[in-house]
Amino acid sequence: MVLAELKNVYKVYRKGKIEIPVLKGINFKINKGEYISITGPSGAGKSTLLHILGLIDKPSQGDVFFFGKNAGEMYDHELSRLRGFNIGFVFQAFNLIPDLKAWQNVALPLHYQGVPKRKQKERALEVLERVGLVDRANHYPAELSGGEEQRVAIARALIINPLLVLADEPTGNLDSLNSEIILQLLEDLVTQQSTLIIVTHDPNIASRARKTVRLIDGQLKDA
Amino acid sequence: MNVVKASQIIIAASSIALSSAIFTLTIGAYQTSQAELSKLLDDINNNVLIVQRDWTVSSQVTPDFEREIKEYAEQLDGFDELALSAGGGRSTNKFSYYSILVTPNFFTVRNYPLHKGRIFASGAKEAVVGYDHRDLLGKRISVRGFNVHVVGVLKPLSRRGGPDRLVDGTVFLPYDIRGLTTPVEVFLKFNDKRTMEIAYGEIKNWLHKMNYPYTVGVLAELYGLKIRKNLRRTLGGALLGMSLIATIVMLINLYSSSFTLAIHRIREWGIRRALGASGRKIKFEAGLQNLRLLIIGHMGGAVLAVILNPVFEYFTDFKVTPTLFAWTVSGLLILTISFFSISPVLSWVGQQPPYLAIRGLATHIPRARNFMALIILITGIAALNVQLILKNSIEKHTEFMLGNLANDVAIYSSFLYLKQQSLTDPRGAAPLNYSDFLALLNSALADHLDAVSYVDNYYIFSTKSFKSDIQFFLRAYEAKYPELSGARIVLGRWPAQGRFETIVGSQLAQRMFGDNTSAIGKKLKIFGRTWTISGVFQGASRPTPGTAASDQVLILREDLKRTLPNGRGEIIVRKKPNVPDKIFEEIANFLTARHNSSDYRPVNALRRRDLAPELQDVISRLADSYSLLSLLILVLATLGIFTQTIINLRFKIRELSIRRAVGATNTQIWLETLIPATFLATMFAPLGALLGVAISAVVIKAYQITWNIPWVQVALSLTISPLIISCAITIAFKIFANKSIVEQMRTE
Ligand SMILES: Nc1ncnc2c1ncn2[C@@H]1O[C@H](COP(=O)(O)OP(=O)(O)OP(=O)(O)O)[C@@H](O)[C@H]1O
Ligand SMILES: [Mg+2]
Repeated sequence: MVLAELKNVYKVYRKGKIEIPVLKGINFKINKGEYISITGPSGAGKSTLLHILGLIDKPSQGDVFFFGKNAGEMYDHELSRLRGFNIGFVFQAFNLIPDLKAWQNVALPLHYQGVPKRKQKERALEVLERVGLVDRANHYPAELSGGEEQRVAIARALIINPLLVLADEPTGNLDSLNSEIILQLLEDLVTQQSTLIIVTHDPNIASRARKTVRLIDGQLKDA
Repeated sequence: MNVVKASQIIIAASSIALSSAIFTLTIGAYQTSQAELSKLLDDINNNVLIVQRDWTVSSQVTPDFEREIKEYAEQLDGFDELALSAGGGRSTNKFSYYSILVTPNFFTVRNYPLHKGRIFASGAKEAVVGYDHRDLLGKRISVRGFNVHVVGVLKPLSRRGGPDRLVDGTVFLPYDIRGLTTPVEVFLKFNDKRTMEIAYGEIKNWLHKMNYPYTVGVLAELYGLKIRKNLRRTLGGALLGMSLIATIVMLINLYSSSFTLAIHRIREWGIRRALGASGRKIKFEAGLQNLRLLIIGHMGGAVLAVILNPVFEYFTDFKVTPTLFAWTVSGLLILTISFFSISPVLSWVGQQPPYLAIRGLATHIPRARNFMALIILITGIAALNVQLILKNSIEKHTEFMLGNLANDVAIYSSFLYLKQQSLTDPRGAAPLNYSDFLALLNSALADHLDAVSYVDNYYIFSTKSFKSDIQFFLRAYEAKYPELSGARIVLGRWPAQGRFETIVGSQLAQRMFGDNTSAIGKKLKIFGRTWTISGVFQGASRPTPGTAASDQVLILREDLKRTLPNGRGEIIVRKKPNVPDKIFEEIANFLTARHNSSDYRPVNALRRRDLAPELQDVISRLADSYSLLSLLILVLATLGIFTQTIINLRFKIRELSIRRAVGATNTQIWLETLIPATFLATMFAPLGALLGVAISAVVIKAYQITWNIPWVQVALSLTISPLIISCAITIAFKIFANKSIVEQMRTE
């Protein structure tokens, strides 16, 4: 079953008169339960591609389908709902909210799903337990190390039991032991029928995926 | 996001400019009045005592008084000379100059220099005139039945104010022109100030011992006090209030914007510090940024002061000159005061550890900024309420003074009144009478009128009805007067014709009988006839033409059955609806034509607004300047709130887009921001209203006007702050909502 699909997607960044074409006609089908890794040189457009897949960015040209529906024709609040209930995003730059404690950052998606506050905290602590940070639940992002922030960001993606997990360099700041724990967590999701897409520079991690693609010159190539 | 930064700078700079302008004007006004005062003190003799007739004491003045005070003064140390004056005034219904009798040395004692000509000789049939009468020099004029030759003109002196206020329009006659006179004022000049001060106490004791109905004072104080009082009132009321409110707004806007600008650069400063800059150096840089802002604002203040000056002078009638000195001092003041809003920001900046700052983070961002925005709003609402309450109270006060006189009513009076009464115009008021009333009724003009009435006025010096004499104004009226007079029945009814009934004002009723109820049925003896009191009315709080005042007595003219020779008539008309106001003027012309004489001024229609001089007076000017100010403050407050909101959102934009990325809808975020802010604004609004009521209470008490709160408008003003806040948030959201999430997440 097809979960999401990119059809002939182009992305061009414009800075004044200069045009930077990043994605040049991507066709990409993602089935339910797939485990895909995306590699590619720095600046190739991997994060851009993931943003488009995660419905937080729009292609310059081409269509994005989610559950068979064209995202370009959806209302803003529909897109928000899709993200809030189905997509777990792990950002390359973490994107935690500095004013919120770790657990509050994790619980944020539930907050917008309308889950009661007590339940939110309960679930957030559960997920933080899984990433090994339950004792840091009341810390603010500025009080955490880079690796810890990353694990909080991952916990935030996992809390909704997403159908699609988009992880942008999820182990970039982690030592090998913690990398392994995190990858295990993410891979557990795949066994529960979730779809996992990991962007990584690390060939060892890339090779763990069932399918590996390479983004080069704005095109996707099977590796 | 440079638009936001620019708007921040503009708001701060314009707040500073407003403060600076008002400070400059305040200091300028103070300076001007000080300069006027010291010039005045040079102009007037500061070694003169004034002994004035005390009219509150009714004891008789023996003809010996003049001689006795002269003898007494002569044996005092340092006594120089003595001048006398008597009988200032004019009569209303004839051609007559405002005149006063003075001894020849009066002019030197009072320091009234001549413009042209000479001083009259004692007892001569000569006159010296004030500057506005300078055309009369060399002519013969008739004053108080004397045919006098104008021999001198004084320099313009009314500008000195105080006791010299009327000099320019006055005709001075020799004190002894009509033989024996009792002085109203005695001026005692001494050799120096010290001997005058000693003499003051001695004369005071002497007057007391001799039981003369006179009081003694220092002449110079009459000027000084007057001016200082004026200064204190106007300055104290309008300017200081303005400065205070403007300062609050400035401090808050400056704090917010310097803080915002600091946050803008926090990361840059973090990197600089990582590269070796000291915390002090960074603070210095932040301070410099604010200093630039202050300088720009203060420059703008100079421009604003020049623009506001005529507006202010027009509204308050108070002369201010924005001098360079005033501007400089106000600059120093602003610099000092702004320290309070800038220094917390600077110390915050200095405390930021570079490791956080470099990531664009701060130890903690003070929430005070949002709180301050609320204080601005409170100030704005307070200012608005002050204006609402003052305006309303003044209106109510006018009603209290004038009775319920309607707006479509005009009065034609035989009295000289207010603006008609110019000292330089010796013409009297046309003596309107009953036949004028009949002529008007029979003219074509009456077709445009809804009601016409006539009233004759008499001054009753005493009525035999009581043991002690009671003096009052009697108005003998024609039908229709009850509905036109602005009087309201509080008890009983209007007199019925042919039954010799009378209705009395409540103030008089209370004075004569203790209360309104006991007045009913009582008898009054007027013009040799007994009248029964049929009712008590509530009218204007003081006598004004046409309208019935609460200390007057009304009877039907028909019952009086005669017209007394010294009665003064007044015609009151009400126009039909939709008839233009021009009709009032036409009636005035009609009446003027019936009394065509060079002795009389043209007849004028008096309207409600003409009868309330206080409305032209400092209170209403004060209220007007408060209106102006409250408008400015509300605008500044609103602008402040708007930029504050946009800036808050701009700093939260990354956070908001993260929220959107994890599933929040725009509506959810909007509500999350709107609800607490609006709640806060709603909670704080009554504070502003309360503050406004408190300030108005002080002003109203100071000016003794009638206290009246327009509750509905005050209640409506409460909705302003939540309204502004929610508008600001919604507009800010409209600006940011549809931007790309990814791009916003990259902003820092
Ligand atoms: N808002 C933007 N404006 C202009 N250019 C942009 C913008 N965002 C990204 N780019 C450019 O697009 C290209 C792709 O960026 P992207 O972040 O997708 O790369 P990436 O493959 O994730 O790289 P990395 O491996 O370093 O994370 C880069 O060259 C980047 O400079
Ligand atoms: Mg990337």
